[in-house]
Amino acid sequence: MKRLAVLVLSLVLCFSMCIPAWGYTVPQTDGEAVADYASLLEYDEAKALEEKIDQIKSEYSYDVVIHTTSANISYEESQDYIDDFCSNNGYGADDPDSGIVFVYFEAGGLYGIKEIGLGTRVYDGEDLESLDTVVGSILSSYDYYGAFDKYVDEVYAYLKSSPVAKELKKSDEETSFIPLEPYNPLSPGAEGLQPNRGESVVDDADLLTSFEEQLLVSKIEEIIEQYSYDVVIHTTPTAGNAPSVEAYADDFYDYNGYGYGGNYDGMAFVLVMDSRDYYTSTHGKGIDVFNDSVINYLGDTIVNDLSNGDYYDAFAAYLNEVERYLYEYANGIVGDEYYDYYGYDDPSGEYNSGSKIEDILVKELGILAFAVVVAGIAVYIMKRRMNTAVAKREANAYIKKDSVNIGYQKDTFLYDTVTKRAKPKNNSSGGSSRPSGGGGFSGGSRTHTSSSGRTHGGGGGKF
Amino acid sequence: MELMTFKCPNCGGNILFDSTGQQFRCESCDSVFAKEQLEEYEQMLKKSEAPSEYVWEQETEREQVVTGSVSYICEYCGAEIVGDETTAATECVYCGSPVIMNKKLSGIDKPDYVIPFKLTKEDAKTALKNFYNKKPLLPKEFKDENRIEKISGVYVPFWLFDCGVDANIVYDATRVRTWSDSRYIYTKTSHFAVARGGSMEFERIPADGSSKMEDRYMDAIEPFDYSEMQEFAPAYLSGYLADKYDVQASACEPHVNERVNASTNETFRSTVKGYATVIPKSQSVNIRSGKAKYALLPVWMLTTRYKDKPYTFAMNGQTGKLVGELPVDKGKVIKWMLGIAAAAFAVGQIFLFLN
Repeated sequence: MKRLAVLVLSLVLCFSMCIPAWGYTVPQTDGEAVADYASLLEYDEAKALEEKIDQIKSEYSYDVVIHTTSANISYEESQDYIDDFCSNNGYGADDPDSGIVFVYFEAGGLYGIKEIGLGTRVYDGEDLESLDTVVGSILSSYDYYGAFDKYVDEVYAYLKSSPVAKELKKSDEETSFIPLEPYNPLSPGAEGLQPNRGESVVDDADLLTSFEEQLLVSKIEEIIEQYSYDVVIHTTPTAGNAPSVEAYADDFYDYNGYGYGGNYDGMAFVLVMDSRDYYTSTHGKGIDVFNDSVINYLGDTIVNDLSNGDYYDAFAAYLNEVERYLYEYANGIVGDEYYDYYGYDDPSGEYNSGSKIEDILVKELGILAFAVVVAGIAVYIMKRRMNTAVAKREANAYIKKDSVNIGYQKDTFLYDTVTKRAKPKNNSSGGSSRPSGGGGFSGGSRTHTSSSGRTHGGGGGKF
Repeated sequence: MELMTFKCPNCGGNILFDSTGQQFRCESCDSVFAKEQLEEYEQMLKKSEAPSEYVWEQETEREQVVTGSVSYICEYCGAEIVGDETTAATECVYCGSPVIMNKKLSGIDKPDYVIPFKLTKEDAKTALKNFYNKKPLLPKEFKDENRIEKISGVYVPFWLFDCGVDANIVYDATRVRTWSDSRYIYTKTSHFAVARGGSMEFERIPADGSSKMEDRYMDAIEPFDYSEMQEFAPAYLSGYLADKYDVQASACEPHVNERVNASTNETFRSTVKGYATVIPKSQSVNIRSGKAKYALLPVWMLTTRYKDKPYTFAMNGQTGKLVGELPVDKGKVIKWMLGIAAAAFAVGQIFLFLN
């Protein structure tokens, strides 16, 4: 019995030691940038590559790793090998440095590229593919140094042009907005919302109960479905080191995958508690529908609630107005027609009808006035017909035919005067004239370019 | 060498020559003009600021002609009416007071023209009845048949004025253009000086030569068709009354001048087109070669006294155009107002109920 147990145990031990050895061994490097285990490069070639890689590291804090191996790997196993290589050497999601790993399997002529750390932010699928093809074609001619050199150049060039990499480059300090999810700044014409979109309500300042959040989220979902337009409400205790509330809001929107459709139509409403700022950032269609005067109006509508700490009320009113403007824009309705047409709940209570009796009294008085006026007019007409003797003030009937000769006619221009008056702006909250959105006469939206390179509109204020 | 100082078309201030800009500038309002503009403007204004003159011919003496064998002078209003045996009148046609005809040969100044009566007494009565119809506020004694019977045919004296007119008028006119950008609404007003000068002629403007006949009545039954006007002959008058004129032509002139001026302005104004606003700035209207002729024009008349006030009905004896003043029965006014108000109120209630 004892002998059997020992045998089994040793077998198990053997197995457990052997399993990793099946097919391949994943080496542990010393953190070197070029781990040329397959000896495909000369010493100086590797050195040249490492110098370039060091340059990239110092400029962008971005790791580039090149690893070659002669291990005999099948296609199915290559992905695992790469993953293992990364985890063995500490190149993983926990690694704060971002970077990219290139592994070449000499035996099968396979290679793979993996992003590490935050590297997934820099490259998207397509770009990785384009790297593949560039490098792949050179590798097949066995010019390893040429291939890797080209690879490093491509990475460097890409970092220079990528707006996110610029972010990595410029700030040594921590950037204030840790993105929640990776984003795709360059993917064209995706229909609908993006797969990596953040939450509809991001309440970092903890101003809302979860129930209130849920209500707002449902409302936003309705808006998204009805109008193909994205809305996000975000509260935060601080905007950190963002240069302005505008920049903070724009970037929040851009870097968290908000926006519907290829133009990323939508808006973000941001509340910053320490500076007591509120700000709406619009994008795509949002810039047209919510022009400057509407943005002002939205602010005016909710500023009192914000000041009083009624945050849910403010956000709910905000969403109501947003929906209403989207509806009008979609249906070509201008001004207050919307109230009657849609049976809309009016937040300012203007149309509250009051008591029934007062109503009727007013109407009766109106009819009485009408009756008196009608009677007055009728009698006046009767009276007028009683006296038709009216002196003539002119002698047109006695102008001798063809005797009129106005020989001297001269129109002389003298001078011009130009005056201008400012267009009426809505400047009190609730009850005063509502600006029309989207392409209406009340005019345009000022836009600016945010750090992502995209165009935003919007505006805000203090509460 | 005349010293020319220009006046600013905008504010009336002095225009100075600005040698740096080589242009003419107003010292008060800073407006800038070209020399031609200022010269033209001066010229226009000069013509139109001359005082208006109205020149009428002097009247000549007229001979008397005997036309009637009876006459009356109304004690109440002073009207002098001449008739013949067939035209007995018991009331003054102008004021409705009772009169007594004197048998005596009498005449009037010889008129130049006459338009004979075309419509008969029956025509006049019918017209009068129609006039009374559908006048719900009329006191009922007016419609009495006896009253209607008293309607009389009278030849009313008129002065007929011919004249020529020379006029120069200057208007301030503007054209307005508006546009806007995202922040402002702009309004550009272009100012023009519009001058019109020329002449026109009027013929046979009638003004009634009887002080007893209110001008407004006679104005209201105009126009007469002058194509049927005849040289005067006493025979036309038989069977009708005739009024001796007591208003000289010269006394009518102010009213005629007013009408001529108004017509001239209207005619000239109608040639100013294409502007947003047109305001006359100055005008000079001169009447020349004005002369007046004396004519008798036919009128069917009836004056009724009601509550001590005369109310006259007059019908153009040639064209049938009629005019009249009728008193308003206050009682009836109130009744009608209440009635209509009640009906309108009821209609309003139904409307309210339905909504």
